[in-house]
Amino acid sequence: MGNHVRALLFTCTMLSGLPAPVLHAQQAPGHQPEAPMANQHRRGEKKPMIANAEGASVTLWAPDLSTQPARIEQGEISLPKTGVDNYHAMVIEQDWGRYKEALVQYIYRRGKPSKESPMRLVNAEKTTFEVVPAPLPRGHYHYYTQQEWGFKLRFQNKPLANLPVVLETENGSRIESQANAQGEVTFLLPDDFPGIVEGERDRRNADFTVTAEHVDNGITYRSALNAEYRINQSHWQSLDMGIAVAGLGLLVGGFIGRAKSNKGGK
Amino acid sequence: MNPLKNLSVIRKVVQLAALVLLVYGSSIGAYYLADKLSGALPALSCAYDLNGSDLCTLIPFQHQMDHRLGEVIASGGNILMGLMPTLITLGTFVLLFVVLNKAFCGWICPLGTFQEFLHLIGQKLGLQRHESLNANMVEKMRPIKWAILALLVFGFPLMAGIGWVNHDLGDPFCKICPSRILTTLANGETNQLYVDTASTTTLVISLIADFMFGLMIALALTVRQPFCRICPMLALHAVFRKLGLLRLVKNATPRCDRCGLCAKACPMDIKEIHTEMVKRDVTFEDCTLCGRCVEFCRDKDVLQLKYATFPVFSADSKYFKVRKKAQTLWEKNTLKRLIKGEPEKKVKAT
Repeated sequence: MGNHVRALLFTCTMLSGLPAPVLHAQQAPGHQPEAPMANQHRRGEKKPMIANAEGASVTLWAPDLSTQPARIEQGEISLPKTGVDNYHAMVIEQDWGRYKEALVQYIYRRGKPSKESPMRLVNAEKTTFEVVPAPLPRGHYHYYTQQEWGFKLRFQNKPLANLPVVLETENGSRIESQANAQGEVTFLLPDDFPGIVEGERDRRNADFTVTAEHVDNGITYRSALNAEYRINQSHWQSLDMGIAVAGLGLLVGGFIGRAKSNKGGK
Repeated sequence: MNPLKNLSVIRKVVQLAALVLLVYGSSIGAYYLADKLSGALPALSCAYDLNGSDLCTLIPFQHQMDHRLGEVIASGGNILMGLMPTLITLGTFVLLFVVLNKAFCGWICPLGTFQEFLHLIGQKLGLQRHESLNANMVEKMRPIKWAILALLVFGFPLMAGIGWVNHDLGDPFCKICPSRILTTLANGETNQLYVDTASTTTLVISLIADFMFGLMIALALTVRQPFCRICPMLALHAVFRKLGLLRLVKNATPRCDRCGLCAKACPMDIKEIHTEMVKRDVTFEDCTLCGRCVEFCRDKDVLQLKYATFPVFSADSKYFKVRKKAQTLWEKNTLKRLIKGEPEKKVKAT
């Protein structure tokens, strides 16, 4: 599976000490384009990478809320094995004294059944100031363009209201919004992948981040949630045609049922 | 008839509760109720209904054929290791199956419930047929569920895993399953009702899925349980029906020859319930253990639903009389009759 392992590069300016983090993703060096058939069994875990990692700590949260430190070697984050499946959380923290930054990413890992709900992990306080997915997409669900998804701001495990929140995508979009009184904010993921051809399947993905900043007792906390989003299938799947074909089925079924009723029933 | 003593009414209450739990589970309990269930029982989860905790073991089977066993065969690996996840899924399925047997179909399945309620609407609209399908048609349809189980749940996914067919056939049953469209629509999501132009395969499969969904709805108004008759879950249940603790048992009498009400009452049109005179276990492959045949058997204890050795519901002449009367009343008083201004029918006590 070596060739199939993909890597993300988190070029976090938070880790280089600059005030405004801009997160983006790219393939790891040496990445080879994959043949269509080879792609179908890809199960390798994406290997996160990090630039300017000096002083950063990376913690892996397992579904049962146990934590393990992760190693950073030449910018590549080696996540420890937990042996269980389900969502894990990778938390990268950087403490500059009066400026603390954190980045959280949820990663699905394979293994024995964890017997834990991801809700427990999502609800757990993993860092002081956190952008929390509400909800976390699971199963066949992913973040797709043209979909609205919610996020919550949580400081010391309590909702944080009325803060400005920014969504930025690897494709260059930037959307600003503000959390409501419950600390909730909703974003419509932009349909910003370049070169989409209508009617043709497109399996590209990219990263987005939802970032917020909060000042408490003279300390500035900046937190980001990083996740992957995909192209909305509506570019090659038509609801209108689906309704029309289902309607045709209804008509044919109605005709068959009517014919049978006339022939043999009351 | 006292609804609390009417098995069909009790069953519909259970079906409705199961439908709400399975289709809207996370909205009732917590967002991840479904995930909690599937986390504990990895073989049983429907990945398409974000709010639900739908029970379907057919998704993991297809994925395991495609992504595990097929891959192992293609790479010349250890086939037993490739089969292991499927065996675990099967084991989990059988564990639950022992508890409920085929009653999953007749008491729990949301798609079965949906079709039953559509049929009730059809009855009230005056579209009802007295008998559902003729014996020849039933006989011809029976192999279809086995073919779907063999080809769409195991065959094509395995071939996709090996690389013999394209990957769009990796989970072909889910792609045509009406429950996928139904449960997502029931949650206000239209993202599963589509025509997919990504490839010829996806185009054909999505056309079949949408057409069959519409067809099922229309047919269910006049024909009892149209999709259940070809459902691969029914076939999978049939394989293990001897293991289940809940069974339909018959103590045939010479009077059975002259009656046949049980077969007429059966929503799956299993005529063998009537004609079988030797076997005691009459949990046939199409049986959903709904108990309707027991309700409409007029002779005491001739038909019984038994849990292990304990009878849980037995045929009874008194029950039959009251139940038959209630059914006749239900079928006679249709909306059509009301619209025509005809007086409400009453059935004389017998």
